[in-house]
Amino acid sequence: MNADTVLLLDFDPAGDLGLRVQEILEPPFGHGIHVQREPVAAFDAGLRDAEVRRLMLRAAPSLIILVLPDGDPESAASLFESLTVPVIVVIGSAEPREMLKLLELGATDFISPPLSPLNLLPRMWRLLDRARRGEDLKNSLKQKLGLKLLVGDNPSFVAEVNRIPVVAKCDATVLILGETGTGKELFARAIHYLSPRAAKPFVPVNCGAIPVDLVENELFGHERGAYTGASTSAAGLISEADGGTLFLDEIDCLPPMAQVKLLRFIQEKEYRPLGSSRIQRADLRIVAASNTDLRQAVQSGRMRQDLYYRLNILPFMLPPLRDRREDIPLLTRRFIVKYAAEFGKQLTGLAPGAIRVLLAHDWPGNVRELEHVIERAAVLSEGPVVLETDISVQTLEPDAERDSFQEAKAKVIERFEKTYIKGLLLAHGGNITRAAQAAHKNRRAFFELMRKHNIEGRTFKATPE
Amino acid sequence: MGPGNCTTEKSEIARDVLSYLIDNPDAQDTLEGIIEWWLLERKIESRTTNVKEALAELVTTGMILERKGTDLRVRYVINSSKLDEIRGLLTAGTR
Repeated sequence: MNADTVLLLDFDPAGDLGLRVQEILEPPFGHGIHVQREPVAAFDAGLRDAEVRRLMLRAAPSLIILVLPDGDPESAASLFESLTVPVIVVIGSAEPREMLKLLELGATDFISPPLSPLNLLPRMWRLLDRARRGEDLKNSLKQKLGLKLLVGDNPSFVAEVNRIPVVAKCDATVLILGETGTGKELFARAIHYLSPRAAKPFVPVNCGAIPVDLVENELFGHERGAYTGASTSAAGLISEADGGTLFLDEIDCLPPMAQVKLLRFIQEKEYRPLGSSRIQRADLRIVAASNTDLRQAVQSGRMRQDLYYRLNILPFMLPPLRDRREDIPLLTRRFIVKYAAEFGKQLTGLAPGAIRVLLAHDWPGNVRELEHVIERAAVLSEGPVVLETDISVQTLEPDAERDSFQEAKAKVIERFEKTYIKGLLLAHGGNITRAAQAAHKNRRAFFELMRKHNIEGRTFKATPE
Repeated sequence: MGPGNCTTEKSEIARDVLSYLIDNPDAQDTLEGIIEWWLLERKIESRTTNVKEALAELVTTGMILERKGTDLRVRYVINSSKLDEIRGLLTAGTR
């Protein structure tokens, strides 16, 4: 097999990043590739792009490594148009926003110091391997069909979905934030399966579900005799996920010692199993997720600040279902089809009353809660159409045993106000003035009530089908 | 769906899962990932292979023609000199 040519375009020849990359790519670390380093002087953009095109024609590379000086990555925008093979950008330092910009411009991946063979070579091999297998058509189909799993038309949600392919192709750590049931694991999986690591393991872990004393053991594994009862050595989840993606949900639940070890692993790609004196290496991508505000967790000391910064390279923010009410009919249709098939029922849709109940509910459990409600309704439904009586959503009920009179009363009033306002907004297609008139309240007072309960008029403009 | 169909579907799924694992021996995931991604990939894989083979056959029999662009990508067009033959084939196929 012919050696692949890697063209190393060094736009910062005065710095030492280009030389360090070259050192890593050459033997003894790099093998099976031909490295061609080309220092490129800082011409104006037009001349620079012409020079790069000339170098591309001459070298016919399989991959380009682009060493950029610190500063505005957008200055390299026109450059990417000339580059027709995968590009790894090496940059001294960049903000998450700038890194995302580089990916949107056309970079396949990026890497910042400290540079090491373990950081650079595996991602380079993966990209070369993918290019060699020529799987462009299959990958674009997989992307198109795979992203259809993420159902929704809400602009904030769609914007996050559209970022998946861009983020997937690089190897940086990802942080997915969103309330419970908003689809964090679906996003993590899409990132994995659209990435060059797709053929390797996807290992999902709920950090909150592992007893605190066992977390380190679960993640890093142990040697025989590490503790009483450890009669054999066992690999941890990091070793299981080697080559692939480790999805750490509820990352804020990791105990402090495990956070230190995880941080060290992310930085060095090295770890030590419990009771072992041997350092082990693993090459994997971390996708972390949380349903809490991690900045608050950092402030309260529950989460290490350095770990937070290491994880928060490419963040996703998934909106709660109550903020994308217009997606409820769409999601409902999907679940109806799914559960009709599963339970062998001929369900054709929902009655208008049932849709109204779904649209008025606040969905604290988000899409997962909606799915369970539809699943239950599909079981209960006796005809082809799901009726209002088949829908049962949990509402805020006062707890007579625990709540004081004041608390219980407040809950009832809150529930009444919310249901009443939403009912009126639904009846009037989200028109606040008409809803206020129907309530015999002035528009301002009605609007204040909406604000108090975080209700937005526009979300009631969805047309149920 | 009758029990026969169910068995066929199950054995197709089992085959798809195994063939995915043969192609990707290091892969591992939970049920959700297998439903959402592994089986999807198998469908794409078999569909792409079948479409490629069908196109090659149509080119061999001269029903369609290959055109290579300057970007080296191949486009397929109908062979207009065989229109009657193609129509005849399609009519026979629908009977």
